[in-house]
Amino acid sequence: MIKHLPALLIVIPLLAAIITPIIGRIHWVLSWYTVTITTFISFVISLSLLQTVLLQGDISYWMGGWQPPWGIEYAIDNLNVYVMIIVSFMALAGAIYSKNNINVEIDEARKPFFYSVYLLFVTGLMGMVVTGDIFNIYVFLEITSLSGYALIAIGKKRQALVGAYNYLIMGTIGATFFLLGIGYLYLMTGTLNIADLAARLPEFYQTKAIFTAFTFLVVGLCIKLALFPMHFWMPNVYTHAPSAVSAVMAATGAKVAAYAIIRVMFTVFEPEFYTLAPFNIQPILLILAVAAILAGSIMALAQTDIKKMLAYSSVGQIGYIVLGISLMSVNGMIGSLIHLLNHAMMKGALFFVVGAVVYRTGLTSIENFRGLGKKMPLSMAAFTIAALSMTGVPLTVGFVSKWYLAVASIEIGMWWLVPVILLSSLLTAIYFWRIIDAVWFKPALGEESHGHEHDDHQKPKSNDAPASMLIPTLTVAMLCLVFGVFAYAPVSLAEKAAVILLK
Amino acid sequence: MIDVAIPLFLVVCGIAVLLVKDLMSSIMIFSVYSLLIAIEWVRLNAIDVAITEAAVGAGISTVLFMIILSRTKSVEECKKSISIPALLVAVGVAGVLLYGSVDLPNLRDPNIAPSTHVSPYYLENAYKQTGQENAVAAILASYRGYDTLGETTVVATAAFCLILLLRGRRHTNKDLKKYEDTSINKCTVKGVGIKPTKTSPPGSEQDKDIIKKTVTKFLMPFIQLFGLYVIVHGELGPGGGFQGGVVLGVSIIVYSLVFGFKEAQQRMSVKAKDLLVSSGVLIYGGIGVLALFFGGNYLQYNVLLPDPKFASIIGILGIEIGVGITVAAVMITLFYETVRIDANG
Repeated sequence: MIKHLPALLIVIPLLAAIITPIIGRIHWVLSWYTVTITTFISFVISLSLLQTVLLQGDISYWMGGWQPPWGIEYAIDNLNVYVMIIVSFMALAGAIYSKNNINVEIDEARKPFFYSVYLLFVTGLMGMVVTGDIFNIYVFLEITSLSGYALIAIGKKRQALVGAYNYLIMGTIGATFFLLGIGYLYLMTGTLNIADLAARLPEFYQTKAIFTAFTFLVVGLCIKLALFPMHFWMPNVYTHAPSAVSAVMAATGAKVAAYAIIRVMFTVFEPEFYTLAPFNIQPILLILAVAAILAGSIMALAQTDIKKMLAYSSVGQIGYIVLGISLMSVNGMIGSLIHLLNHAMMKGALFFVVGAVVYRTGLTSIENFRGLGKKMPLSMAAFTIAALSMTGVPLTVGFVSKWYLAVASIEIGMWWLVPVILLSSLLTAIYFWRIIDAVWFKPALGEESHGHEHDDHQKPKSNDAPASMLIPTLTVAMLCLVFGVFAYAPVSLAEKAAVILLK
Repeated sequence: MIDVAIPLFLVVCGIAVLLVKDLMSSIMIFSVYSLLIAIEWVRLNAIDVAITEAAVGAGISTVLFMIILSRTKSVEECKKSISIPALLVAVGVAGVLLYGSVDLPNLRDPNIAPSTHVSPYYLENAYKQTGQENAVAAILASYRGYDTLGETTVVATAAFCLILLLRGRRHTNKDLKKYEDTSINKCTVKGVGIKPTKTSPPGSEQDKDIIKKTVTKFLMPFIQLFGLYVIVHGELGPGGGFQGGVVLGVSIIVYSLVFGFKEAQQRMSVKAKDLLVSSGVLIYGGIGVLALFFGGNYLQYNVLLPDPKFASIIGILGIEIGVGITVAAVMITLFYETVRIDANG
């Protein structure tokens, strides 16, 4: 069975998702167990695949026993096993977290279907990552998009429906662009297998059709990624979706879209394409990335709702990921890949904490965070760590990726990017400081008047989130520190992937 | 000539859908659009796709749109204004598509890459390796069978999402009772769209419906038999699980339209239908897992039995049935869950 692990990685959660609604009829909690256990299995399989890739090299698994390019291939290398681990880990953390958290968002009768759709969402993402066939990416993109729309639309407020609808329209346009791109590629090369495409494409690099294909593929994925200025669907989605969904979506959805862009740009197409193409693509991406970094940070500064602030901060962080891609150098790519991991953990932790606050207080305005440091000390500690990491303080993961991005910018002579990164970090520090200040140094709302009284009987009771929410939150937050100190592990993996991509 | 006319009609239909104020007409034009696309697929020799497009695009979507319309107003109230950014994006996309089409190869040229790279292998080996006389079925079910599993899952996902969103939201027993006998029967087309008419006395309604009911009862076995035939026939010619499943699903929808939701539920309950959505995908995925136990790769049918060709035929038949079950159940889900929507919601 070891040989079949690449297939089982997807097939187990896929079939489990189909069974979940049936099992959930007995009791909803069984559907939660199904999701938690299967995402855990997927996580373990990803780790085992990592070991195989590191020791024995890339894996190729032939679906149906048909040799590629005639059949569909699962091709696993350093790059996708790395993304795979991020996605499956965050899916597991989100599943554990959702057990109590989802109580405030949906009623019990709908939980089995919620978990089924949740599992389909993460399976779709994992399926996109692990496959070596470009049309197969599209099939799993459809699974993940459809389930994503539904997960957002179950948000309690009516705006959730509007957000989901906007996302549905934008997401469908993005997916259609991606499909159009595949169509053009197929018409020119007659193949759908990524490795085979990479081999057959170079002779067509200068054709208009292939350039069009490239444009559609990348623009389609950029819409899914929510790269500035195609981000406007995202803030509403993250704001009104259930907290567990926002966390998992922010931590995994955009990462997989970024992975797909890297795959298309550097595996399907090779770096040589960018010198032969009719238009120069690099500066366009670079400018969009810089605009995203600055615009995201500035807009985050203006928000009063914490979820919306985190969403705009994601716009900026996605800019960092694209910045690293657009530099087209090994260090830039390492920066991007590390930032994939970092942002998944930081944003995951931040949304987890916000979800816990909503669970306890029901409010998401930043005002409401005042004095929470005393009521929910552990959650707020996690929030602080993640916020520091987001700013890029040394010894956190956020520092590592920004360091690589800065080094890469200087290396290729674009020193002016360094002040951009610094400025954005400063802005990030400002918008997070507002909250950290409120959390630790301000009394809670309505308690100012009692401030002068004796504190022995006024000490607020600690009322932190339940363990099922605290454990994933703290684990993810601690990982922000662990990978910040022991950055060697992810960096060495990312470096291997980057070197192969930019060969 | 027709190769120019159809795309031209498509563009006209597309613009007309946007400009027409009456939504009922929009739906009708949209179904014409689907039929035209189906014809285009036939022109391109993609008969399987044409059947699906005609059944789903022109058939079921139209019915679903009409049901939704009967629950809301059928005339757009807000004044239509053209959004400049959207227009620019649309023109831009069209421009890029045209730009890219300049050096696309001619589809009728036998030497283009799609006809010379992987296709010859399929045409040569499909029958030998999979026992399928229809090479399209061999590709869909076997060579790229994993994609088809994914597509079946997409269809099932749609049903799950719909149930997650609609079921249990503001639903009380009273609401259900109010809509349990909803049927298009009670709606008539009046000028601008469908409006529910006043319920007529039971006697006269009986008389009015008797022809419809008798004809439907008479046709039902034939429709269903045809659906099963299309599922099984995929091996030899156009058809397969998706198309057959749609036909099977339609039979229940037609029944429900004529006899009412309540009576249809006695034939196919919501619970049974939910179970069928899952079981189709499980059959498909299960056959794949079975192949693992027989020592093959995932979805490698030819290891299932001693004779590889026969095993492959059986495996493909099995997954086609799985696809058929899921697709039929999902079609019914789309209909049931929409019909049950609370009109106030």
